[in-house]
Amino acid sequence: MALTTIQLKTLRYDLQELAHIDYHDVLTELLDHYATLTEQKMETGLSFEEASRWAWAELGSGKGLQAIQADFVRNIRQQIRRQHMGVLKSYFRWPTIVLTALVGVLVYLVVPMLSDRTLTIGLVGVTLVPLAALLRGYWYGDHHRENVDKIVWKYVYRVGVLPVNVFQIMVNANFFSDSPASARVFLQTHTSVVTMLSLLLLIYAASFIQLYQQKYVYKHV
Amino acid sequence: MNNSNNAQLLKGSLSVMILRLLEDRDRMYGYEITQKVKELTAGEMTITEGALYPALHKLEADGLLTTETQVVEGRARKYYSLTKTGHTEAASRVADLSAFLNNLNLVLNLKPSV
Repeated sequence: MALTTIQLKTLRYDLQELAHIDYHDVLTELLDHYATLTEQKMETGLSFEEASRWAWAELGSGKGLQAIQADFVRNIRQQIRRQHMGVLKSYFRWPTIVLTALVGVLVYLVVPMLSDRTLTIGLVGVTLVPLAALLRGYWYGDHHRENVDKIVWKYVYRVGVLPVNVFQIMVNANFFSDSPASARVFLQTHTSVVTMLSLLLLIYAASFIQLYQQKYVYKHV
Repeated sequence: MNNSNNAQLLKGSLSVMILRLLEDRDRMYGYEITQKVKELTAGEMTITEGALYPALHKLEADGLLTTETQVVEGRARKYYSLTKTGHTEAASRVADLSAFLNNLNLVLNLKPSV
């Protein structure tokens, strides 16, 4: 006995509003299970209301269903974390480290030849690039995607956006708040280090871009 | 069999049961798995949804299962099937559990010493 569209909508409503099942992948799977249990009970002569009530209890009611969703989220988070560590490990190889150090040396040699103004703009630019990379993720994660991508975005926000912003505040506050003389000393003596750190941060930010592009097992919408 | 005892015993072997069932059938969906277990054990063993889906999700995350979604009677149905690794792993885990059960049997059927 196949359920009507309205009956399916009722079951979907129960899952979304009573059990707060937010993730489409979980919802799809549980709706099918809920509907099949209801159909099976209706075949014994029960009305839709009675059958669905029985099926709801059989599924563990709201609490049981939420536990299934919580497990789903935990599972995806673990995958993201594992995936992210893999991406970061793939970056930190000798060629990347040597190249970063060489860029630092190059910056150290070039800095004395540049004006304070050019240096300030350049430094702010370099420190802002990682944030720009994360903003892209913010845009897609928060506005254009749903389901599993929301979990990815929350992870990125937690482990990416906060450290990047703190780093930028630390770097920029030094010469925005200090006197011009100390800012000059800071820029000329520390620029190479800051640039190297920014490059590392850029690599870190790039790992998130790669993370957005990963496919997770439940993503099939 | 007592339900809570049943659940405890089932906990460690659920993933093996799922792998074994999928070894036998090309693909299955959640509800179908619960019904098959009930049918095979004549209702003695029931798998709750709260145990089944986390187990399925874990096996999928481990790369042992793959899924495909198909619209059936107006709703999407997610089918699980074994991956290539899943097939190998299923055979190995079933053999391990079987050997364990044989050993367990030897202990459980211990004859009282004279």
